[in-house]
Amino acid sequence: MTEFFRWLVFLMFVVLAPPVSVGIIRKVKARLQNRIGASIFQPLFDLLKFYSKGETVSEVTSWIFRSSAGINFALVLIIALLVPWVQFKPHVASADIFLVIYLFAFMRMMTVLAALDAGSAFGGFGASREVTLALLIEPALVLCLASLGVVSRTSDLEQIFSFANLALSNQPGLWLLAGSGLFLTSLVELSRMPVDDPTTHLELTMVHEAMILENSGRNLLLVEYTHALKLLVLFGLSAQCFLHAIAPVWQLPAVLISAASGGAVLITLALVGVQEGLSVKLRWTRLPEFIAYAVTMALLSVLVAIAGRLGS
Amino acid sequence: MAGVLIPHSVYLLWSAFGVWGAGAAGAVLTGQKQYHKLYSGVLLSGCLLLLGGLIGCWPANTSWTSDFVFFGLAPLAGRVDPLASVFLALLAVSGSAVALFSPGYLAHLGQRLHPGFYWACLFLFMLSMGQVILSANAITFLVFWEIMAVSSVLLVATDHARHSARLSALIYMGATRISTALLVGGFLWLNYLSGSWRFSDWHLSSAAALWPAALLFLGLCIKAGIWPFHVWLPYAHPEAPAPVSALMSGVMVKVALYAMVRLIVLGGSGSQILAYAALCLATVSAVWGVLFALMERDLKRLLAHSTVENVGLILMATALSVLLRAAHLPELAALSLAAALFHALNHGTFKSLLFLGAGALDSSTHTRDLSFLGGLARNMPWTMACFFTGAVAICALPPLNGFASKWLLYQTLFHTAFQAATTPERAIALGLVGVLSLVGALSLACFAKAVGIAFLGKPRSDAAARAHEASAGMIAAQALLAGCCLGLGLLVPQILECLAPVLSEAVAEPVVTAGFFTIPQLVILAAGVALFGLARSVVLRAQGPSLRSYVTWECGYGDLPARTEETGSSFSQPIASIFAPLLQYNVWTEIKGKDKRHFPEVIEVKVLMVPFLERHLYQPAVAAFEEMSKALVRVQTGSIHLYLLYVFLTLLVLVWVGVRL
Amino acid sequence: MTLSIYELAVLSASILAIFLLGTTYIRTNLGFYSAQTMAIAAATMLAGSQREPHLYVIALIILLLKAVGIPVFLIWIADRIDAQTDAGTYLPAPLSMHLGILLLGASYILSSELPMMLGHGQGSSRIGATAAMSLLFSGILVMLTRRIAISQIIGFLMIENGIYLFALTQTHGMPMMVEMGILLDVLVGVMIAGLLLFRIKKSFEHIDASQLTQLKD
Repeated sequence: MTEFFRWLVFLMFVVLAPPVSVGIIRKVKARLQNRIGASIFQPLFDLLKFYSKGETVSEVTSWIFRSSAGINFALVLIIALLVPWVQFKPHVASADIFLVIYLFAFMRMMTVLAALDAGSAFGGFGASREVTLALLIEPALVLCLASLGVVSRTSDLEQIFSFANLALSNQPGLWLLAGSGLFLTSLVELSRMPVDDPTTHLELTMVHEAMILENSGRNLLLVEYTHALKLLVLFGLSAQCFLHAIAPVWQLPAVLISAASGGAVLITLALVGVQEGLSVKLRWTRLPEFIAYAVTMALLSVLVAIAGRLGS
Repeated sequence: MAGVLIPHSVYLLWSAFGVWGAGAAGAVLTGQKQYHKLYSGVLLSGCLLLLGGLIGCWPANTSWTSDFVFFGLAPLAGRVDPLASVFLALLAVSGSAVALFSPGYLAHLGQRLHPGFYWACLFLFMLSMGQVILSANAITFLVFWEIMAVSSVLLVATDHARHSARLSALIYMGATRISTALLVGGFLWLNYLSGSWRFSDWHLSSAAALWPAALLFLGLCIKAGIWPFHVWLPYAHPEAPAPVSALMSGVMVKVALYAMVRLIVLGGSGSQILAYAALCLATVSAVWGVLFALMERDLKRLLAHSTVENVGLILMATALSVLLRAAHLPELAALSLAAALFHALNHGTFKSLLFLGAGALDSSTHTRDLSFLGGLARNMPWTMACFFTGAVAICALPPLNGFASKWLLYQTLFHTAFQAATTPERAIALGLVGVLSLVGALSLACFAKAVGIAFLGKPRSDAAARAHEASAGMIAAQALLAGCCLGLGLLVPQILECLAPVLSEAVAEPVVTAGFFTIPQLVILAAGVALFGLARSVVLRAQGPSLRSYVTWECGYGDLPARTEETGSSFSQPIASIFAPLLQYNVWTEIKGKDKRHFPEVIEVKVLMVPFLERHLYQPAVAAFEEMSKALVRVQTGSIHLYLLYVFLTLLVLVWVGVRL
Repeated sequence: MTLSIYELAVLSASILAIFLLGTTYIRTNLGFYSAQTMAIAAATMLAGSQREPHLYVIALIILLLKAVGIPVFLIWIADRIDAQTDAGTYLPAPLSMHLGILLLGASYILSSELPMMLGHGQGSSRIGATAAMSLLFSGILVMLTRRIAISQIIGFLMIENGIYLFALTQTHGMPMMVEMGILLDVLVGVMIAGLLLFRIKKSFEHIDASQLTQLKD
């Protein structure tokens, strides 16, 4: 019975939380800019609006464009069911690090191909910048997760992020380094500031919005929802890393830990909102320097993971 | 045959080779007549006989020796065991796909092709590759290795009216000469050490065997296309006709890697120096290959560079298995070797598929240049679907086969990172995980470019706009290979069980492969399909009247021409500018016009890249060689007296040497 | 790997030094330098609670003069000579940052070769030696790869930080006189260098050290 209840709560969370999290980020940013801002449920209302709108499809596109939204939706749901981005996620199957990374890569491949399918300069431009950014951050993402895995001697994300895993119980430094590496990497992967401005479609900010420009109507509903869930999963994962760094949390009972993990996700989203409000979008040629900091965090966590065996 | 009890299945194997030999003879006799369908049938029947023989021989070790002796040195001897069966199966499947593909493709080459010459060389090529895999002693190996090299050189030069084809054939021939010379040196040395020509009598674990092992390794590296010896690959593989490119990239480089596994790994060489050198070269090949693939405009050259990358990955896994065995981690060594062999199998499948797809494009649009392709999704849907499958497989995306072999390699490195004894080893393992993910991201970019620019968007030339779908045979061949990619991806545990005997022999311990691959690919595929169906039915249903078809968003300028689309060079430009020092990358722009600052009339953009290795290593080497030759020419004076003096001096030296020994 | 607060402080100093390598904005560099000096001051205070009390005084002086005073002074100089960023480094900043991480790993391996002057009971000095050597290497890297003269000063200051940290972690604390003397030297050196920068900028119109190569025959 508790298992059924847990599944119910989790599924409701998966359906409703993504648009609300985008709403939270926008609300925090608006508050920082001294505006009242739209309600945190506005993205949810936007999604419902897309459901009832008509769709325009370019005559140049092929089955790749028309199916990419559905394929990405399926992939992100599989990822959200596997990756332990909140502690109350029920166990489905073992979430291998490399499987998750390559599921993300599959999503990226479909997005890039859909962008090239329309034959527009916007899509092509966004696609080429997206693969360049992926090239720079993929090692960082893999190395952050792999260094956590090396210390806990398993590549299953659920076991790494579980609070029953004693190998990682007293490693605040490693969790902080890996968590900040994951956070910076997620900023790049999700095209948030300072990498890309999610609110405009100008040449300056062409990475994500340019790729999904051709979508409309229900296709756009799927695309926006997929992006929001991906955002929640990635920032949720970094939130879990930060939560694991706080020593007293390890002593709490399971229910409180689940609640704390939800709270950590909320705080991380607020942090993203603050960051959006404070930072400026970087010029394209300065981005490798910013991404280098994410790689640095990953390399430092690798150093800690390798040196950890020798003790102090 | 010597009086050894031979199972019936081996007769099936021999009959396959006999059929191919007969086909070669027939092709020579029929000359100019275009009997493509007949010869394709002969090729296909040979492949089916081969497959039948392999299934029958599985999994026992069978060997035979014939009475026919090569040059009075060693008899024609062969042996079939699980390792050879795996590679022969790859040969058979690729051969079948090539057989289905050839009639449609060769029809478009028309008069530029001499059918007898082509088919004779192709049959000899298939026959020699099979015999190299089966050979049990060095002389048999060398004889068929040479036939393989010569026939493939001739196949590269099929369209010999083109200057680029002749040049590529020459470069390739030079590479094979050097490779064979090194192999002969290694074999002679090992024969001197062990006293026999048979591979089973050679044990490379002693210190004295290090140098011959290094010679063999170098010779096989050249043939497999490892950096820095890979420069011949991007010349030779694109110039050959597409079926031949598929066989060369898909099977021939695997034969070289098979020889490496057979001779060096199973021969017992535990040399750490060699393994670390192999690891370094393999890592550089992987990164170098995929980076240069990303920069290519020619679709087949892109695929050739990508072969260099994958060969680097296979060699990396092989070298890792040797190092892990020496570090007393036998289970990881077995995992690593399984990754290497499985990746060889997978790469053979999807690289052949990609090359056949490129051939279908070439036969339809008569160009391989990405700047003139595009918009083929409507006209060539089946080719695009198969090429897309091949691209998904090569980018190691679940649930296809490329992901499985790359996952095995990742797991090896990951487990080494906490099981290895010393810190530097652990650091190297985790560092290689990072490098592997970099290579994966680069190959994703490369194949997104290949599929996106070649097939999607608007057609960039009239040839692309008027393209027609490939013939049924060509589509069947590609579909066969695409189905194999999916099958190999879903049946990973079974295939690993087939490889278990080889792994046990390599690590000298019984190996259980049941726990190696723990990803449920079928479940993921099923879940994905179910969720996709959910999306389509629930969300995307009832589109009818509210779905309108219109032009791509063009900012209100009206329908934009195809010139405004993304091109291959612009797709790879951001990555190129990051790696600019390595690629010597420069973009040269010139703007012309009366008032060119405000109203440009003509804008010329050129991408300049200097091939690093060729400019800085090979051209100076060739130049030095020419200088040396010119210096030696002075010895040839033309004077009879001087020549007689040379003869007399040589005679003196030989007499002195003969007396001393 | 469990680390004490003291070890965390010295390691964060070396990590901040590595972050400094990754950016070429002078103000950001000075901010990172200030942060790392504050970490060193914190480490000195923690060491003072365990060993000699005079380390408290030294910590306070480091905090005030080196962590606050010198960066403010150098920012003032940088504004006067209009030096915002160090364009044209010999090695791109991200690569030098990754190189700094490699050198951190190397100093960890090297630190096992050093004789341990302080036993485990007084705080293991292996981490301290690692952090100190890594600071030294980062400083040398800054001096080698950066062009304009202000970066050279920052590099010199980082090297000085590293040497100070090495003395702190490997010994029972240097005598008060020695510390004061070194501090005075550094302060005066930085002031003279800053003022000279002023003159160089006025005379040559630039402070690019790669073009100041007239000191030869």
